[in-house]
Amino acid sequence: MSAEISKITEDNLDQLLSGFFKAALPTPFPPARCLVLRDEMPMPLSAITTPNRRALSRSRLSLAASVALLLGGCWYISNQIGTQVDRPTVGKGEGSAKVPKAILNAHDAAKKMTP
Amino acid sequence: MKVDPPTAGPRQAEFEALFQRHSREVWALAYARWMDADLALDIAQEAFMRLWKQWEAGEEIQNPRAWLLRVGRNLAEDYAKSAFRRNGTSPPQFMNGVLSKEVQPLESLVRQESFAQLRGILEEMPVGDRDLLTLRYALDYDAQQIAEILGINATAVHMRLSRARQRLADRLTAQGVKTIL
Repeated sequence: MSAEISKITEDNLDQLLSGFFKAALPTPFPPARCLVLRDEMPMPLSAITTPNRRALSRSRLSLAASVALLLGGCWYISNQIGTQVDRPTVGKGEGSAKVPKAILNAHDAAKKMTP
Repeated sequence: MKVDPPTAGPRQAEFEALFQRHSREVWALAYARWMDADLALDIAQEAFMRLWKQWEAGEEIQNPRAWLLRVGRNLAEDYAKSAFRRNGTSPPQFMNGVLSKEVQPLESLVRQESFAQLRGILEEMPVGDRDLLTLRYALDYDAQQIAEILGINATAVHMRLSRARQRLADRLTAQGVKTIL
């Protein structure tokens, strides 16, 4: 330690610490924020800062209903597709296609003409 | 225990009285933890907000002062884990070296330099010592009052204050701080 540096005195230290901490302390100390908020808004503070229980249960219920609807929809559509696959398709089997009358008539006429 | 929620009247008056008496104490403990006056103010306000919400929910708090100090301490500790602390803005001490455009009186500059040195030393001290010093010098509390808040005996407060002051004086002297404005 350098010789020219004098030892700090008790009073000096008190003065420094007091000045330092008092400069940090807000003066005047602001009023309670929740009372200011409460005066500005008519509803209870908890209604602003925390979700309403009734609203929470309502949203949960609607979420459950939407999920159920989605699952039900999927189940219904998959059933529909299943039954459509089982049903015989028109025009695929042998002899199942309808031949237009004009062609049949022409075919018959051609048979008659041949000896 | 459930009680009536606070309404404009006696409960609000009680709340205001509690705020008047203890808001600075909550601030002091939060300030001692982080050495950040604005953050400490936010923590103090949040602690009182939570007390109000407890009352609104109809909860009875047997010892509001102890409850507030505990909530204030917990909030200060939680701040260490918060995303804001990890990703937030730089603490004010990082701005110490940035010069203002305004010309400042020499006296103010010397004072700020002393404060910056003092802050640096205080930040290296244990939080327990900073609790004592903040309560002693920001709020002008005596050993008995400090002992009540910290839950230790007054003799221990005297002893720890004396040691903390001695350490501070030695460090400040070593750094060349001798005149205090």
